[in-house]
Amino acid sequence: MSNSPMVEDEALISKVLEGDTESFRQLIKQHERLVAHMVSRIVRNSEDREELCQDVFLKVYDKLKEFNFKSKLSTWIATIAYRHAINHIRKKQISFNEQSEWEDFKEQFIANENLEEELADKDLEEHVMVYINQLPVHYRSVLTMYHVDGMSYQEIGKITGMPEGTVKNYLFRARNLLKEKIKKYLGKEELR
Amino acid sequence: MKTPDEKLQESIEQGRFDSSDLDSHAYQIVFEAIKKEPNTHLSPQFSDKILSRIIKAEEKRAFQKDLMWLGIGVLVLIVTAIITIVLTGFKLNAGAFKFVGNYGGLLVFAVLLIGFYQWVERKILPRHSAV
Repeated sequence: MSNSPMVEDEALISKVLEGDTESFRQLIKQHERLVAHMVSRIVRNSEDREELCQDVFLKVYDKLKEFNFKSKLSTWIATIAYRHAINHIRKKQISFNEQSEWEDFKEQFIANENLEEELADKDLEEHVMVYINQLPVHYRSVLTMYHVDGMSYQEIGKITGMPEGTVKNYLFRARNLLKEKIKKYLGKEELR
Repeated sequence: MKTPDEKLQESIEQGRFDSSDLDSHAYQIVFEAIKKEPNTHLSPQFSDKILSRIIKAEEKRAFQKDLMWLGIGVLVLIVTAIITIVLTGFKLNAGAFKFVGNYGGLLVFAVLLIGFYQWVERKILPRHSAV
């Protein structure tokens, strides 16, 4: 009979707190993909990503004794990863494309054809992946948490500090923008 | 009230789509693609690197702790010495070494001579001790 994830997390954490480094290695292995998803969706520069992911786990190690089991360990780690990556881009003063600019952004995003030549030989899925990277940072991270990591609106809200309504709104808008881009591309293809 | 686009997204999420409709077809492509993992390459030694950074950080922390205790120790020693001197009215007395004060030149010569011997030894010894 297998234990519940919460019980397994508790056992793993107590071993790490006792100083067992192999248990911490196991914790890293279990969560490295999640952390990498969070960081890579927020930080575009691939050279910074691995170091940022390492920093996240160092923070996890330092703060592990403060973890109070009120949420899943993965949600707690994702929260640290999200905040660390957001702080990184804030420090680097990279634009967020905040909500107030939404209408302008939507227009620009759909009209932008800079990538069209670059994408000429690629399939539609690759088009979508490239378009995702052009979305505002909160849209990209919400999309990944929901569709790739299978998190609920509530979990995403906890991680990002956004109300559930905002999470749903960002998710809707992100998918809508991507759909408009693909629709435009399909329309062009039909004309050829 | 939900917009037609919101309704469409909901039905695509539930697996219902109409490929003859351009919006529905475009959403179908988007929903398939966004499930794919982003490109997240981490080096094979990822966990090793973290563990070695943890060990280094702990060593640094332990060294700083030792340094702090050393500082506290020295401070306590100085404070205790001052209190002792004040309470006992202790005065430094060179005793038998008082006579050295009369031979200041000799003392300086002795120090210089020892320094010279040390210098000569360092210059000569490495050449002869090499195996």
